[in-house]
Amino acid sequence: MPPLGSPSKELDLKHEEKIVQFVSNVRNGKIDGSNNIALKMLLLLEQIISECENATALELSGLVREVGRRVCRALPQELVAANMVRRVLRAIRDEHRAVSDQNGGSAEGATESLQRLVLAAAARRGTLGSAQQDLREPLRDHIAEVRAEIESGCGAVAAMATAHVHAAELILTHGSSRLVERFLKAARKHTHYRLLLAEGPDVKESHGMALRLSLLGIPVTVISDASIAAVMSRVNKVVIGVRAVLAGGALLARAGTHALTIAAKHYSVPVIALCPLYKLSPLHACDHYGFNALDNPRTSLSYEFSESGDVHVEAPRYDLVPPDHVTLFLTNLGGSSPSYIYRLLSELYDPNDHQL
Amino acid sequence: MSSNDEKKSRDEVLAAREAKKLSKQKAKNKGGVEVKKETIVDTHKSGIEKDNNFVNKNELEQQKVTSVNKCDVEPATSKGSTKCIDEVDRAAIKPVEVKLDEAKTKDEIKAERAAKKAAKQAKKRKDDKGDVAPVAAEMTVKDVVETLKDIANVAREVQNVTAKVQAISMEPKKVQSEDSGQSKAKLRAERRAKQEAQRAAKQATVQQQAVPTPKVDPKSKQVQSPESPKEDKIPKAKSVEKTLTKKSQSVNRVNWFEHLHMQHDKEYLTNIPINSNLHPAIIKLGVQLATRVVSGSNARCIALLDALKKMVREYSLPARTEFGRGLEAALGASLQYLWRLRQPSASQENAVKFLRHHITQLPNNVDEFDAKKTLQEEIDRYIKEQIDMAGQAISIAVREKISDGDNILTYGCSSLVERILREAWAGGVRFRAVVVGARGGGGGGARMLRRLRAHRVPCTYADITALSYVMKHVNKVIVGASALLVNGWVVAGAGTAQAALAARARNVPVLVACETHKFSERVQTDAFVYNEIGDPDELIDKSDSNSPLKDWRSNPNLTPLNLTYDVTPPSLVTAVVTELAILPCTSAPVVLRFKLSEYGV
Repeated sequence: MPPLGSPSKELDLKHEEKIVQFVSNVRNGKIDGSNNIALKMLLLLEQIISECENATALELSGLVREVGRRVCRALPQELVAANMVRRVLRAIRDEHRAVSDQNGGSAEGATESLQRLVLAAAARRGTLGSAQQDLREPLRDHIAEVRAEIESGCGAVAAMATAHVHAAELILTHGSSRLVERFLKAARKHTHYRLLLAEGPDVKESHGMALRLSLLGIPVTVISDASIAAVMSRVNKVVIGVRAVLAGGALLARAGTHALTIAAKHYSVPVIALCPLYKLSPLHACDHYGFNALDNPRTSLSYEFSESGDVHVEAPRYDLVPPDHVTLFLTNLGGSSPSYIYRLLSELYDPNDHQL
Repeated sequence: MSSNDEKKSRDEVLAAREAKKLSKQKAKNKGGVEVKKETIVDTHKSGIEKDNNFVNKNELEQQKVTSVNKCDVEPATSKGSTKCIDEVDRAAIKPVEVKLDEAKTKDEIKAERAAKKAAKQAKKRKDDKGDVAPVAAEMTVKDVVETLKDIANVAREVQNVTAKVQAISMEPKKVQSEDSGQSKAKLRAERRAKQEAQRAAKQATVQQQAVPTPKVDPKSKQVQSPESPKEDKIPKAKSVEKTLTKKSQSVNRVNWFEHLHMQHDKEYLTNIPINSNLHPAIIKLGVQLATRVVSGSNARCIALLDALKKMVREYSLPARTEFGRGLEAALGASLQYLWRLRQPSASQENAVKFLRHHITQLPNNVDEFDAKKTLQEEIDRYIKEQIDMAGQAISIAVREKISDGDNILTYGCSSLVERILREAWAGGVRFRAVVVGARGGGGGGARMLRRLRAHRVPCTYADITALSYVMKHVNKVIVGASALLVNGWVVAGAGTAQAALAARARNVPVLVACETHKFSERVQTDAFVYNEIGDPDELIDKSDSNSPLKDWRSNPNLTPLNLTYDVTPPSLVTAVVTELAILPCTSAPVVLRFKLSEYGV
């Protein structure tokens, strides 16, 4: 059930305009990269909250949830945006609880534990709605905190590079990712390693990444996706960037990653997935079609090819990688195995907000 | 070393050369009759040369037309392929051009050379007479036509040699006249040219002792006339370039593939010494293999056998040599040349083993004509039985495994898989082909797609990145192979192992279609010990003029690596379909033993 059973709220016209603006910017590629999307989504929510007249907990959570629903409907595969909505909702709950705790004086929820999470869930649920305080000010602090976390997240993940890359290693990565690039640059400062870069579907971006890394003095070998299985037996470690991490520890990444991790599993090569916390999503997917989007067919078969008119061309954008293919997730908080993702999720989001 | 200077000096040299030539011609004009003869010879020669090119092209096209069904040569209609062919022809001529050095005042040596040659030929005629006459009598009309065609080829060879000889005698003079404006690189280049010319001269003397029969023909004599002076400048400029680029090449090697490294520059071709003992068909095949115009296991095998057949047909036995031994030696030299241009595939190795077997089987005092006839028939039989009929048997066997409504995934381009799918569709099985290809040179999926669409097979195309996405709806994976090793591993185009892995992850059966002539005695358990490195530039997006990788040669840390093959372990392959039976991979040694007992190879 959608928690609190809140009815869909009417949004102000100016709010709707902002949402449309945001959605179209993402769709047109003006905002790209999940980091930017997360930050912009957070900014949007902050603006909407600060413009809200009646900033009670109930009112605010209804408003934020409605914004989240609209954005999710428009951008179903941008899971990061929905994550931001959940983070803000969680902040509203926390703030509200803090306020009502102050009023009521009970010392509930000081520390989190698994037992408390189970037992306290029911108590938490009923609390919204009673207090009438203006939460805008404390929420602003919360949002600033989240923003700081997103901004520092990539740096924190990259800083762990030294612990995971040893000297003279052969590292394989797939496609281009800003986070992976940063991670590899950080590792370069401490050790000398060699890099194999499989092109992935975004050829130009990954070639650009190869060039930038090679200019830093890292020996980079660019291979096509077809050679991955051939070279895998020599690879020491696979480092990949992710699009999103799902509840069970599965991950969504650029197309071709699944084939890569199959090969890595076949040769028992450890796979390290870099995922800052804002990419954790409490949703489940069972197949490749759940959160996927189709790319322009041109990316796999050029329009100039005369047969492209009468064949069916498949060009998915993402791949779903099952949890057993990933050895380690590196988040801001350190490394964790796929089976531990659920716990991180329960720390980040309220269980009632998993379904917006 | 400003280029301006160089140009100037070159111009000067040219002017000087021109003047010299004029004076010489004047001197000749006194004996007017002689000059007339010469001009006639000239026109003759150019006519022959044109013919020659024409024949070359024609032959290539014929070969293509006949092999479209069997092998991997691109259909002639496609734009790309014709371009390729042009390139080949050019490339085939190029090495020749490089060796032609400054052909200046030829006329003066000409007289002495002519005299020398006449003496030699006279001697040879004496030697050969016994052999040649009866053979010629027995030749059919067709054979005569064929040999006439090839005379043109041989004539060109002769022309090369003469040019080389000229280069030697001209060299000292030239160095003296030019050294004022010469740069170091140029000097070095010239020194090399000189060495090459000397080597060529040695070869020439060898060749003149063992020239094939058609050379005695009067036509070939006419071809020894001078080159046009236009061609002079080209080789020098090239050799200078060569020295410059050589330094930068060694840097961009992937050190763990050093043992495989091959140069993919056009200059590599020009560095291969071409012995004039080689048959023109072999030389042409070598260039086709190196430039990957002929690619694919079957196509390479057929092309090789075709060239060897021509070689056998036109082989002329040196005096007092046993036919088998003489041919064996010639075969060895040809193969050495071919393998230098591209390493042999398993199919080619087996074909050569087969031919060698039949050469050794020849009786000691066999008649030359009979031996040639037997060998040619054996080659034809091999192509028919081992490649064509085997393909047919496999096609029938696989068709039973495809049912209506199936989605059949195939990776890359294989002539055999194409044949299977084409014939299954024509046989009324209604399936859909899922063609997976990869960017760059390795995949060939687009080629496969084009061929299947030409036969109206319904197709889905996906890039290799979409492999696991499409795999869910696939019922069977059928791939071709380049070789099946005796330990059961499958050597196939890069990406096949990936397809097999993705299929295994979804529990989709993987069938490898492979004729038994591709079974190999080798063993290998990874893709590194034996592999080929394709052209690295194929990884770079050519449609994008400012691709980030375009300057990779100047960046020592950046290496595009384009592997040609990978190996698939037997655990990922459900079965291998051969013409004998549908077998597990591990039965490879059984098949090899069976073939040994059956065919002796």
